[in-house]
Amino acid sequence: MDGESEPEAELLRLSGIRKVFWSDDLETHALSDVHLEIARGEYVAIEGPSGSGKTTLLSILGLLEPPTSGEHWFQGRPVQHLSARERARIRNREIGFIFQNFNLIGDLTVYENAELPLLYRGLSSGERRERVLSALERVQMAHTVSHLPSQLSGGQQQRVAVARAVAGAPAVLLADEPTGSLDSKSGDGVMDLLDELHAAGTTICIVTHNHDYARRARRAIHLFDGRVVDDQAHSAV
Amino acid sequence: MAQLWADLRFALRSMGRRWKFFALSIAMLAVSLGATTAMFGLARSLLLSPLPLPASEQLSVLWTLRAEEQRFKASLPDFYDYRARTRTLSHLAGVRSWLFALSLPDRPAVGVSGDHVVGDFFGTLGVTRALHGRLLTKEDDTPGGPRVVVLSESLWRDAFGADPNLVGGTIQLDGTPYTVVGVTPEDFAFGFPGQIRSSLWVPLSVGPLEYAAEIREARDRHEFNVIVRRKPGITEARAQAELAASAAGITAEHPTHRIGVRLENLHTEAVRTSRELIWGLFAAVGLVFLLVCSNLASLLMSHNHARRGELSLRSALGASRLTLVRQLLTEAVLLYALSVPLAALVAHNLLGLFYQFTATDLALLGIPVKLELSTLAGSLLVSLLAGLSFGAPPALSATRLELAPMLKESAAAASPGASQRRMRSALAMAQIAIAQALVLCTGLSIETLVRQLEAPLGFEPKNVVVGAVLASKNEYLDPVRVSTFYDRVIEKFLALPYVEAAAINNSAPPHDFESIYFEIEGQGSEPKPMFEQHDRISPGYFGTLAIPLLSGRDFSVADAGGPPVLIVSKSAEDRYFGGHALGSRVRLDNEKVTREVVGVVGDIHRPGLGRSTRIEGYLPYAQSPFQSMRVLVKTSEPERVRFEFQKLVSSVDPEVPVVEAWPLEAGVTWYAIGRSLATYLLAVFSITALFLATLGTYGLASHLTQQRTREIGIRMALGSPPLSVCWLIVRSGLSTVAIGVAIGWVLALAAGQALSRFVPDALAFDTFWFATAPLVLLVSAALACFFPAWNAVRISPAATLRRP
Ligand SMILES: Nc1ncnc2c1ncn2[C@@H]1O[C@H](COP(=O)(O)OP(=O)(O)OP(=O)(O)O)[C@@H](O)[C@H]1O
Ligand SMILES: [Mg+2]
Repeated sequence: MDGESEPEAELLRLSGIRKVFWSDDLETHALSDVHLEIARGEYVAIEGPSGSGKTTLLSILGLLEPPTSGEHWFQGRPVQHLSARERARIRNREIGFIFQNFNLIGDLTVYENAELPLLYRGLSSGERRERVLSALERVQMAHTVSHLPSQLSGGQQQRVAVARAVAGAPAVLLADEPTGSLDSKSGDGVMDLLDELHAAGTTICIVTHNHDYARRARRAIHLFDGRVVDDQAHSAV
Repeated sequence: MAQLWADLRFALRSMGRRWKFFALSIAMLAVSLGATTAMFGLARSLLLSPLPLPASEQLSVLWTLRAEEQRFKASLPDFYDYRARTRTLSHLAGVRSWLFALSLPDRPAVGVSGDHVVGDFFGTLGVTRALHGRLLTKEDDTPGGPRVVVLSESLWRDAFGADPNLVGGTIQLDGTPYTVVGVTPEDFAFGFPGQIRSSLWVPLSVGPLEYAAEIREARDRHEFNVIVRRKPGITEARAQAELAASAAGITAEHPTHRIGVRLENLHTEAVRTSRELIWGLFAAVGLVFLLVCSNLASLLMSHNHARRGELSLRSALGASRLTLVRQLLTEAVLLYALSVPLAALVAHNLLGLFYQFTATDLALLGIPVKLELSTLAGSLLVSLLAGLSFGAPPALSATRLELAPMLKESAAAASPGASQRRMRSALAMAQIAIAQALVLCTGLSIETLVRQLEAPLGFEPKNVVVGAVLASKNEYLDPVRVSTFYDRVIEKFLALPYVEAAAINNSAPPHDFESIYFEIEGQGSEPKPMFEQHDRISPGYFGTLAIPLLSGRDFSVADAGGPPVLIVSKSAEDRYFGGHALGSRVRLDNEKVTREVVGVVGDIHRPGLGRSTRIEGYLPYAQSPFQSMRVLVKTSEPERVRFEFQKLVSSVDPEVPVVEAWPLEAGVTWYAIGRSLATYLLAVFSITALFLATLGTYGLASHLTQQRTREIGIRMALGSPPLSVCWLIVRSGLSTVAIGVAIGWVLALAAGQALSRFVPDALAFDTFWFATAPLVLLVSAALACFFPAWNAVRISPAATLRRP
């Protein structure tokens, strides 16, 4: 499995990435000349002031949107020119997302929300069930399988979102301010969950404003005005 | 009040900001409401108001009933007998349409339609004052009286330049001088229902029929349309009972003349051909208006949905739900109200057009149609009610705000308002059902029409030119002279190198229907056999039209002075002669002589709904000629013949007009089109409905998509293939559409069954249309759903997820 592969093997690499947004005659350079490598099993925090391009970087890493220019390798394979279909396939199998605002689908139950990525993958219903339940157990939400998101607290919703992200055993977990909408206790719970996942071998990349949380990661990348200004490893706490 | 004013101001401002949307909505409303108003105005003037004649409810048409309750015109002796015996009627008049040749100085004679009248024609209608001079009275109807004529105001104006000195002067009709005694009032118009409008009136006793003392005696010649006026206070039933007794008395005196009587209100008679059409079209335009309203409701829902943020803010700031609903409702009602002036304009312009299309018989009576103020007020009221009832659901659903979930971002944003979705789905479903039903009904009527048009005619109209020739001079009252005249016309045509054949008939197929009863010698006469059509033709007629002679012989020149003969159609032979008509002897109801059947020819088919007459009899015209005949010429140069028609006829007699000349093929086509007007109008309405329903479905799909953009973004982020996300939206739209299609399908099935019971030849079901029309709707609806969904998945999921 991906999580058990050699720690120093390269998982993804960005080289000379630029992202420009055009809106109403306004040109925003969200990212300029970003170089970045992330190896399997790493735990990376991305920090920086508001508007510095953190979310944009994460969307590019997660293949949610293509860069304006630059090269992007994922698992040793160039991905910047792939079709929408191919990118969807990679997102589905190799990438797990956690958002600040949870982004659960309101019409679906907890179980169905967690099942979504597996559904697109075409797994048998027995296998899906096994994986979804074990993921929900891991985040201690197995007792709420038939609840709707509106019946859960924010922290509970985010735990379901984590379950959804890991149910498919992705190669990398991308989290954009996963604790931003939570109180500190729920936030701690989610961060503990990520620690556990990392310990079990998952590669994690997290955007956070909380310096304490950032320090849980082994490596911190600092963005300023769309550029990487600092990239340093710190020792485990 | 101040609040309402503020609401109005705000509504206007918000409309101004989205003026394209509102302008389009107002235009759609104006057209559909205008058409509905016009149709209602028409129905109101024509169907719901009395005829514009004094005490018109006392007027009835008197029909003579004969075997099988068939309605016939009255014969003159019967007319005089009814008049002599009645106590319940104050006036009776008989009219017989006649085409007069009016000679004007320095011009070829023109054909003018008018009436020979008996009894007190103007008195019966209640018209007492002339514009100039006087009208005809009962006293003019005296054999041997002076030749007088009354002109309609329009003829007086168009043909004589409104010359006031014309009254007292003479004009030439059918080559005979008549004294003009008067001109009818400007607003008077008359044409007996089913005929054409008359421009002049002549007492029968002095007209060209005066020679026919015979017609005063002949009870078999049912040639007069009779209009009666009941005395005040006498019901139609009472008059009917009295006239029935008179009829029984007549039959008692003349045992072979078995007749009955039926009175029919003149108004009913006049609207008979238009009533269903007018109400049917009113229903159709009303449906289109409803479709537009429901579309608008749907559009307003999106419009309001987009303002949910603004509404929740207002609500959070303390606006009550009532306040919000009132504000949105004000906007909707304003939208409808603004369309009314435009709708009135549209209605005003459509009224004349609809009148021409639908009310041929009513136009004859010159009924003025106008939009009355109360009709317009009614349409204002309808539009306000529509604004309230179609504006309320969007307003209610948009203000059903739950503020808490707005904070719990995901639950609120990713889940569409279920009640809104249900309401829009129901609207779209109804639209689709209506469209499906209309499309299928159109399909059925098109299919019926196509079958009618494709059915072999039984004759070849190609390259045949028809001229309506009117030899109505007095000298042509002599049968020998008139047939000599027509023989010479035919000779002239045949002498032309580009003419292959020429013949005459008193009517050109497929137009006229002149049924006549007959007796077959040696057969019982119950029920009495009837030719649905009988023609007076010259030798060579069958050849000219390529109608096959199946057995026996064609007429020949020798028949003119020979024994009376007859040719019958194949269907007539099969129906009445046991398959062997040759040699049978037949007496027509209006003749004394017996005719021998000498030939059998192929059937003629008349295209168009509900008219397929095949049982036909042909007489040699030379044995009983008419003055007005159709000359049919088969030629390699139709345009040239048409152009030269008058010249050729004039070369035989310069005083004989060719009223009209036309290619027979065009005549056949127009006939079919005239019979299928309803089909065309239906097609227009169903295309409109299909368009509106597709638009409605598109609106629904955009709304569904709009409400689910975040969900779409999430699914895309989790790696769903774009097409499968599209399918998600299309599927939820399509299930709605499918139910609508099914409902419409069943409705159309029922309508088809009902229609085929009332309209002969109408199809009840057609496999092709019932199989393909639902597919067309499903495909167009699927596309309508697909486009908004496709637009949504093309946006990068990062952008959707970024939205607050
Ligand atoms: N779709 C877009 N169109 C135009 N500009 C955009 C778009 N998305 C992001 N931007 C701009 O790109 C820049 C980087 O945005 P990004 O969301 O990556 O910042 P961020 O570091 O995540 O900020 P925050 O900490 O506030 O979330 C900002 O200036 C933003 O305005
Ligand atoms: Mg961000």
